Amino acid sequence: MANLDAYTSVRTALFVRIDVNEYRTTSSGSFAPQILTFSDYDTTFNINGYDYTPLGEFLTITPTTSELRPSSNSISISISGVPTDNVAEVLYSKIKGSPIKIYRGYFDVSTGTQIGSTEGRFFGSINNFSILDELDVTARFSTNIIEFECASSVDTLAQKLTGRKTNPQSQQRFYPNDLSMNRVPTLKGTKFKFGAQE
Amino acid sequence: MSFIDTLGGLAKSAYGFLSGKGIANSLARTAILGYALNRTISNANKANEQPDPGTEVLIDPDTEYKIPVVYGSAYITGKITDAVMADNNTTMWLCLTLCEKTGKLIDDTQSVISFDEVYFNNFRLSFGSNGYSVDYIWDDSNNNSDVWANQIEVYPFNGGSTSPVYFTNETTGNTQNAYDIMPGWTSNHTMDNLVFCIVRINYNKFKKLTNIGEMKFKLTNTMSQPGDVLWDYMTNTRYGAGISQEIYKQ
Repeated sequence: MANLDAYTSVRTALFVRIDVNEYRTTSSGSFAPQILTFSDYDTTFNINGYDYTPLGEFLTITPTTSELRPSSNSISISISGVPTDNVAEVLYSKIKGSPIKIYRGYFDVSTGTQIGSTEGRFFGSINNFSILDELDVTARFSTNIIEFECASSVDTLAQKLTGRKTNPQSQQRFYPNDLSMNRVPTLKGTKFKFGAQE
Repeated sequence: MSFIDTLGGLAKSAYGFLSGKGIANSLARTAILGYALNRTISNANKANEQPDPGTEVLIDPDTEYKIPVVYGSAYITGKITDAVMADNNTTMWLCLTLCEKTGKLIDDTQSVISFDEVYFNNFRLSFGSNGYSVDYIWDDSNNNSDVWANQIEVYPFNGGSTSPVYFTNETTGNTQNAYDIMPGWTSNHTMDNLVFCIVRINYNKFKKLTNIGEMKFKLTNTMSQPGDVLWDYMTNTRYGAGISQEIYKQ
């Protein structure tokens, strides 16, 4: 946690990382993993070896409530000013479900140097996205706003069901070749005459 | 005079003879009594010679039973996931699935689940020289009996069919794979990442061992510290939250 005791004012910036497993730029292109990194900072900033592209005012992230315990808040990330040609990348890639991490960094207002290290702000995954068309008639120019709706990992975990049950389907979901549970359904309710002489 | 009257007369004569006080009358009574006794014993022996009908055992596995995760120590009954009757109905083989095998501790050592105690119908079992055949049963007051000696065998496994283990207090035990013990199993019965037991019970009505009883196991997992448990439950993809270790560390 950055120690801000010595500062009367600080500047903060949010850094967003989206890990898209299947990304492509055209409808016929092949999928490849792609890590998208951007921030609302004013210069390129490197975190863990990744450069975060400065989007400045183009990036809007809805505020979240800070709580001591993990909360299941969702957030929206809007990127405005996206050229129409680049919208295809979002449409043709499999964005939904991609894990998203948002970090917050503190910077000295006067020197611009980072105070402490970046801290986790939000961890979750992209639930949905929408594209809004923004048309400037007088300038005869249109841009787009891409909005990502993100669900917190806490929310995702709250709905998650895991574990195995004592039936063949459940066992073979994890171990397809295991036959150990195959007789459970047929044994259910079976009566054995234990010790019966024939 | 009808034939009924004739029969009544004969009966009266016979009764008069049997109830007479002479030696001949007494001998006749003894002979009849002996004959009746002989018939009674004969009928009783015939009843004893009836084949043993055995005990009707209901196997009721549960297809919706969620396999638990054990951290620290716990008593657990498990669920029957396979049952085979063999040896002319006198041997019952059971597979009891107990819990999930857990992952690694934070220090990267593999967690181990040990079998501390086994109970059969609330009697604690102790084992003979081979480490898996019962020699004594113990009650709550520490009284013991060898009534079920060599009638029950318990083979514990930790993590799969090829992972036999010994009971905690035994220096020896089974070393065979589960599929070499359980009738009808092949190498495709792997029981991957499961803690389970194969149990053999011999039918013996003279020793009151005529049912599969209720088995209970005391298991102890080396994974018991809160940090290890939280780490395992948060990151395990099979029974836990499946959070990637990278995110969890952050």
